[in-house]
Amino acid sequence: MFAVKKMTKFISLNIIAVFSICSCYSQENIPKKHSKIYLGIGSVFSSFQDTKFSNSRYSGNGEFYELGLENRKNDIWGLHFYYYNTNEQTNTHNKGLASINNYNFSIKYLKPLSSKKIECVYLGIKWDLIDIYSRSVAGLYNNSTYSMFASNLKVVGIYSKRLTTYFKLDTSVEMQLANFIYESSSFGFGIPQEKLVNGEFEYQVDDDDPLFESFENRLFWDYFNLSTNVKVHYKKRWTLSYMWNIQRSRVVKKYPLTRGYNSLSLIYNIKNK
Amino acid sequence: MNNKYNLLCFGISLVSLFGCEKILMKPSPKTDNVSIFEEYWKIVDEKFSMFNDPNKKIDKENLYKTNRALVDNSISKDSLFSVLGYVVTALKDGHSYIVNEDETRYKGYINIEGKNNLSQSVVNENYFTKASKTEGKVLKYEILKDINIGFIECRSFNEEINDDMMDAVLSDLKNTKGIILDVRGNIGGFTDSSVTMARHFTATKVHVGYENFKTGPKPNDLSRSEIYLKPTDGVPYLKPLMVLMDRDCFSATSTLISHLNPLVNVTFVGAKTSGGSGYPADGFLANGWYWSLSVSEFIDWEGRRLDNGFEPDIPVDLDDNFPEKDEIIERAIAEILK
Repeated sequence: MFAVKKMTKFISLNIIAVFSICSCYSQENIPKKHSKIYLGIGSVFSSFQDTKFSNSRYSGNGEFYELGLENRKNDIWGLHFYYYNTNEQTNTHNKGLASINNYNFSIKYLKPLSSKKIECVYLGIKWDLIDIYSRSVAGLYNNSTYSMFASNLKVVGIYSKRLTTYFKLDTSVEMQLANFIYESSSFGFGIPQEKLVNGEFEYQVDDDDPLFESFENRLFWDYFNLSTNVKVHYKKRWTLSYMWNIQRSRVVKKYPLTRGYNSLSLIYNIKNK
Repeated sequence: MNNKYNLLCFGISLVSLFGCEKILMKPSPKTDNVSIFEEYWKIVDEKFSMFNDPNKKIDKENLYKTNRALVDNSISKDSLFSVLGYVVTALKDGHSYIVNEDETRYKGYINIEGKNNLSQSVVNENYFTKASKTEGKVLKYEILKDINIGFIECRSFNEEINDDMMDAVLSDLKNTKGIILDVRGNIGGFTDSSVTMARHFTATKVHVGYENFKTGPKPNDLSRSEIYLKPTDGVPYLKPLMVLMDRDCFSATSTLISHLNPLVNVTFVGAKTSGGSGYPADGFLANGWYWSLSVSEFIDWEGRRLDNGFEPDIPVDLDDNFPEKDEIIERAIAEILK
């Protein structure tokens, strides 16, 4: 699995190298408009550490799928869905294979800050309407499942540049501002920490309890979520995308939960006008 | 300007390349003997919720010092495992245990007190007939012939018991004089199942006690949640209920007993239970050994710590001189027919 990670980084390095070389020579005009529907498939390498229970780091690779649409005129707006599944293992023992699933559906809207002949900078917001992460560890009982349901509001910046006649580059960074989240992990086990601290644990959960009873609002200093993305577009149909995401939450002081992933996907633009 | 953006782009790209999330992670733990002992002790020290229980008489400082002195990096894995075994045994808690790669297990509590108070063959031969019914995988019931008393057997909560199942059972038993609920030998399972069962025997919301949860690493990082039994929307049964119990009643069965205890129509017959009131958390040490620990403690409405077992209202043991009889069931029948 470490080989996959190395490969991912190697390819990313190549992407950047291509970009670097091309950016020195490119002088093409960037197209002002496009409207695309795309579908992507690739591989992902994910990592996890929950220091409430262990400092053991878990990591592993799996599949990555994405689809979406993007409309770029003067502004950019788009819809994006991704799903990945990985199996993680720690390198200190062979117990507790973890199966991870992450679903994310987001919308974004950005306005141009600067629009030059061959490059543009955009700034806007992205809203992960649904971000669902679940992790199931074999061999455990009460602590076998960690789950997170969230809706995240992020600020996003994109730097877009035409490299050559055939190549174009989009580089973006996203930083979460706030989210509305349910996180199952408490200091002890799978009940939200807030619920325990407030003395709200109960054995009988009524059907008429509010749907979002265990959700809470967290600002960026309580829940750190950062993503970067490098996309190299080739002609109208193909894009190579590398994405890195890190998330860090802390329901108990000094006991952070850190997770992240690196994905590399090949995207086919079903429609690109 | 162009150069600035190029620089920005490079910066982001470099973050992508080298910005591995592991930068923000703590270093991986070591797996030598001393590190494993220290890792386990940290978990016990921070997570175990019952150090304050005076009945357990745990001298935490001494427990650490004594066992730490036995560990260095020259001792064998088996010896290290034995030391961790001493630690978990001293916790005197049935939900606390440690398991190594050979599936060898040290447990915080082994119930060797009391006697065996259940003979399943006697129950099958004398109290169940061909007319007995089942609901789900763990509920078996019947109306005892001639005396019109309902008899429900539940030997495990490891399977779902839902309201529909209880409604079906209690609808069949609604015209009986009383019910005997036999949970002897039931070592627990899902608390959802046991609480769902309990809620059919009350008409009002009842305070049953409180649960202390460990919410942080310090000894007093404990929260208190008041626990209530809320009545079912389905079929209730409010006539006399005799709950048969024994030394094997544990965990989710203790939860059932604690939830039924405040109800005036409920009487407990048999022998003292084993406890297991805390919620267990579990995980793996850095070397792959599995650990489980209680991270909560239930204290009932009368201030009793149920982890030390629950005494019956009417203590009865099986009489070894009459192996064909079940004196506990007979006593429960007599109580209903009084």
